Amino acid sequence: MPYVCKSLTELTLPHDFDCNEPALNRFLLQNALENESRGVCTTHLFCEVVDSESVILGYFSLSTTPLDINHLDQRTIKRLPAYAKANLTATLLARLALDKKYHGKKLGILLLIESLKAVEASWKLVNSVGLLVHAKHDNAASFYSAHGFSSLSKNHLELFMPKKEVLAIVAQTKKRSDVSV
Amino acid sequence: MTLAIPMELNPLDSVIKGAAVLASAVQRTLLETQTVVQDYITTTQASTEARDILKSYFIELHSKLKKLENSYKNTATQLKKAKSINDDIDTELKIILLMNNAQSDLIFIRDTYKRIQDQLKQVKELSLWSWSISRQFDKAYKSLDQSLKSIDRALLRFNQLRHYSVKEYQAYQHNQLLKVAALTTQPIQLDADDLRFILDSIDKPPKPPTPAMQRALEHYHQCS
Repeated sequence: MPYVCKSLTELTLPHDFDCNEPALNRFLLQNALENESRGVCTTHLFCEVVDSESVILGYFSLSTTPLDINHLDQRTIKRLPAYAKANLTATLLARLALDKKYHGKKLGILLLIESLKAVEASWKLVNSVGLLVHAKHDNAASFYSAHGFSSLSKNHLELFMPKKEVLAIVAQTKKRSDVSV
Repeated sequence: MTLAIPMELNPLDSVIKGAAVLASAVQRTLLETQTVVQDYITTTQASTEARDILKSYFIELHSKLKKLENSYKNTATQLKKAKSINDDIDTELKIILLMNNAQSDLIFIRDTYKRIQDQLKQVKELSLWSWSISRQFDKAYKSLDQSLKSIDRALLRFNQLRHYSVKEYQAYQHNQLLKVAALTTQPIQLDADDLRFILDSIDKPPKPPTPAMQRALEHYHQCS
């Protein structure tokens, strides 16, 4: 596969990175390293390997987020199972962006699959109940929901994919690789 | 936010002019030092010891002066902006940071001149011509000391002028940091339905991938 994920410090960031979302461009070029060093999130660069050179096509950032139950009314909290009253966390797909030069080439979906693979790998070290994503706008929310994420009732831009579904998708990426080997 | 001083009496103009004057003074000092030191280094009259001292300090000075020159230019630009945006905490913060940077750079440069001067005096084989260089450094030191006093005055004036207190700046900087962190760590506000949905998913069997995800997986395998 000519596509690989690299860490932020492995490559020089492209100053002309443009995914059509100024906030996401700014994040990669100005905040990603800082956020990583402060322990806020980890950013992975999605690259294509051309003549043994890695070309950055996009990126995604992962973090964890607590699932805050404190604002629920006491009656609802009381009815919850004991484990849910503990500090449950979810993995957060905080950012996902593809340079506009590569839009329309089905690379966005490869980027999403790579992010799911990274999430699955992270769960082997630190577990959580599933994957949450904050979609930037309606189009992004449609993209995520078409690929299996469910909108939360309060805010349709916040979507969730249960852990088991992430694992099932990642298992399918491995299956055929195993057959071909 | 309102200005403590009425706009018609706003002395920002003089601060802007002051910054521009300082910028050109620093530029001039840089050019003069460059010429004098390069002449000195290339001349056979200079001792190796004196040349080495000058060479190493000159490299340091050159980069610091260049940085300082840019700081002043930026300060002037920010001050011009501040004239039209009178309640912009970002601009005020930038100006203060730039001026503080310029101030510490200037102190460094002044002290470096002093060190060069002192070391040159210890070089035994100084020719008469080298003494004239030494005097030149003395002059530069005094001129930079003057510039430092000017920037002290400019900072003091700007501090009197600005709209926000030190406390507000600190709170603002703290909020900016929080904002960066909040982009990725803000807790998801769940309602009872969301929470029930998430908790149910822990025990439910997974749904099969959507048709779009199926196609995506096929594409993924084609690319593998």
